[in-house]
Amino acid sequence: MESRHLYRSITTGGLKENIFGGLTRREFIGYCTALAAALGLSSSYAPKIAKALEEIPKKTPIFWIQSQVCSGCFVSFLNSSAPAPTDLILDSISVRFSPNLQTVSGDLALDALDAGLNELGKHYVLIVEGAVPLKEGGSFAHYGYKNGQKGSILNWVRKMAARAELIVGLGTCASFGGIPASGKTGAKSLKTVLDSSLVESALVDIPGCPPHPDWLVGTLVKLELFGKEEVLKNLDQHRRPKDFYGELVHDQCPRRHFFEAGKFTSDWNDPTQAGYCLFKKGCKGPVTRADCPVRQWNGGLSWCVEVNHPCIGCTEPQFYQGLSPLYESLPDVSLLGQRLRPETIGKVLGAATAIGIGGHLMEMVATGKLPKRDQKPKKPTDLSSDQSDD
Amino acid sequence: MAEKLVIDPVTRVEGHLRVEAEIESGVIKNAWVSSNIARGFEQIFVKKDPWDAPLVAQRVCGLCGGSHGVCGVTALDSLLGVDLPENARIMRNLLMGTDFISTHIIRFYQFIILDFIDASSVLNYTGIESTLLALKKKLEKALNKGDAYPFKPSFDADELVIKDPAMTTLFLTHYFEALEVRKKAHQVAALLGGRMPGFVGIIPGGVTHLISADDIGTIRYLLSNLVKWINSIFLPDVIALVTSPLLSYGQQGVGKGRGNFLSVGAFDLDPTGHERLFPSGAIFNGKLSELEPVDSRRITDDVKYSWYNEGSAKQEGAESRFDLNKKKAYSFVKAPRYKGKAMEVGPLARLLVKKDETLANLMKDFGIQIGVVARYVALVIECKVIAEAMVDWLDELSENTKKTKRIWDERKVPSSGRGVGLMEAPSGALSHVVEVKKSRVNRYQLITPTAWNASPRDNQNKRGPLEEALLGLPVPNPNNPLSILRVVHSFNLCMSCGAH
Repeated sequence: MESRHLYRSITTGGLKENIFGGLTRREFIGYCTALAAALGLSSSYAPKIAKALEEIPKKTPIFWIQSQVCSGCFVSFLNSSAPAPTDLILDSISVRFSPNLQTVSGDLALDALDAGLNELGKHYVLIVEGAVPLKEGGSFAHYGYKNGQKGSILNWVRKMAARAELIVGLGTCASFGGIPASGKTGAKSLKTVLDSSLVESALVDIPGCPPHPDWLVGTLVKLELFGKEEVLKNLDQHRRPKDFYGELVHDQCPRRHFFEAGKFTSDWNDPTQAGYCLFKKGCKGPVTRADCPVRQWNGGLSWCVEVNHPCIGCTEPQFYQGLSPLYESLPDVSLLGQRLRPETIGKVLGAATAIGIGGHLMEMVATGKLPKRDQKPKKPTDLSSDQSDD
Repeated sequence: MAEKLVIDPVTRVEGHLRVEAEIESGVIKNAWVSSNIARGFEQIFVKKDPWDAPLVAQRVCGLCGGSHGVCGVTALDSLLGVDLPENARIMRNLLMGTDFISTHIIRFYQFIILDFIDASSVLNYTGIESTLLALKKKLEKALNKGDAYPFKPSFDADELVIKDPAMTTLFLTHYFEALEVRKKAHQVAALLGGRMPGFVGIIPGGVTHLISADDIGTIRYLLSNLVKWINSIFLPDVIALVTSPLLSYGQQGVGKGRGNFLSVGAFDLDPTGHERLFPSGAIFNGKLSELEPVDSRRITDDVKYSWYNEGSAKQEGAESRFDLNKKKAYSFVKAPRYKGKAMEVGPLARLLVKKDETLANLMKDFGIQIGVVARYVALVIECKVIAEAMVDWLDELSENTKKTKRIWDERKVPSSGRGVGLMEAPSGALSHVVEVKKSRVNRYQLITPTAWNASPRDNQNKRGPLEEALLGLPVPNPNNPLSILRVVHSFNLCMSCGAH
């Protein structure tokens, strides 16, 4: 008894702050300001968010289904900084089903899932992580065992999506097929396996390999504060929220002026090149929409280009296969089925929004700021279509 | 009369896991573990630029992906004949270290600890500790509303579920603290590699940047936070759990298995790789004093019971051509074997091979046998060892950058060749083998930690380590299979790695 007492004093003694809230008014407003930032809103929204938060009566019920996953999206979600995962789990969301977090397994987990679906009607969010394989009748992803029957993920997802208030395709695999789509299991995106009417009325995709936690949490908070219509009306043609995927990485890049000046990293050992543009190392920033350069990762500490590594384009429909080789500079591209040289892309840009290489890239080619060998055509990359839509 | 129990999905693991057990007179007579989800990763590398491989390999697993990245880049280094700059070696070790710390914390606090917790017991907490009271207040409200997910619903408390409300409340408090603290490990990774999960900045031949003095300072601060938390919370939690409520459970050595252990070694401490934080070695039949050197040519990979074409068992991994109609097959996981034996891998295997004194003393002092409890102890000791080593590596990096800024050994991809990466990931031994033809990947084979631990039966019809560890386990009530989950969770499984 005594030793346990001692143990407790040791283990709680280090706790300076109470992690379970009890926020002062000032802290609460600060929290709302952080939320506004996470949503991509200006800080003037903070009082509005505070008011809405104080009026929220219930936590948002979440069912989190994993198909062909690596769980990287889930782990990235745990890295959320404002709100922190503690606040999310205790105050904001009810994790009704999650392979990673749920206490009970097997039939008890499946019973809880069924009970939750019956109880909640349409008032839940379905998060699907991972691609859904269609080959061999969906046999590459079986999940759950009830009444002697195995269930395919395909059936699970269709059943649970049918009534969900909001369906979230979390990560590039669920959004576009991602890495599994270049394998042999018939891996498809969520929008490919769901009815198009359901896609139109309830699906939002949060791609990224992995997605930034703010992109998911911000979307959930937006749903809670402003409603589903507000979430769905601000999506791009790939159903990504424009709040987070509205701009090209290239257009927000702090190294953009080096691109304009034609200063490119070629040798990672050369300290004079350390801050240069990574276009020649294969940077996919010119065709990638995400706010990484501004938002930064892991609590605003860094992002891929910050460590002299090219953007790999992980939020785009063509990731991974369509952007490979990742370390070769962007080739000429095939746009809407036509092969185009970089010089001609600029002419198409006015008409086509599907591609994001800026006009200045063409200027660079024209003015000779890009070295000759970067102009030669390479294997075409299809930048126009969702790889899982074929 | 044997009764068949199926647990599908097993929760609080990474990926999809299914456990089947035959129970007779309340004891497991036979067991099968499997994963029913596969992506076919090995085929995805084929015909691609070899440079892509480490980035793609990271996506095998979101929990221990960093280790896949480093293992993949090591395979590429060996293909290219790289002379790895010291700065790059240390940076990669630090990045891998963040993977281990983050994963080990999640393993214990998010996956394991709920096997011993009944959240409603928090309501009986009568102490005055303000943090615990704050959690009690929150959970009380949630429990009354029937909204205490993910802690409820829960299993019926058995004799091993913690009785003391104060200890339960404390552990649940630490469940949440762990969620927040482990982010610091990923922040270290972000400073070294841009972001985490999915860090970048490790490339064939080295790394892409050298961290600044400012960043070294920030990392030192984050690491000191982590070391302090591991020493003052994580370690005491595990010690309290295993020496008090679980003492006799640990002394019985529940979930022992065959006692075969394998470590292939990790964290090169010098340029030659002779000195490593975790050495390689193999132990058979629980004979801890008889350590054998590892000969990687003796690693085989069987697919008799896996959904793949029956190919020859190849030493660096069986071919991954799917065959879903194969008779007797029951898993997407293959069956790697060393000298024909199923081997347990992971923190316990590494520390036994290392002959770690802290582990040995704790086991001796409290009479803990090899099994579930020893795995928990190894998990936390290893987390501490790595976090403390990282502080030293940071100093080493800081010193080395004063001597040289070199971070990259640029080499051309050969038109043909073969490269091997062999190292430990958080859950155990990992190998990546790359074969190149016409400068493109011709073949890429993975043998993952969970393939070792959660393998199905092999070509000799011998069970995998987890299947073996479940034999003889008492299951008093099949509707409340807590005893099975405790053994399963002690193996630190990443099923996405396992099937890949």
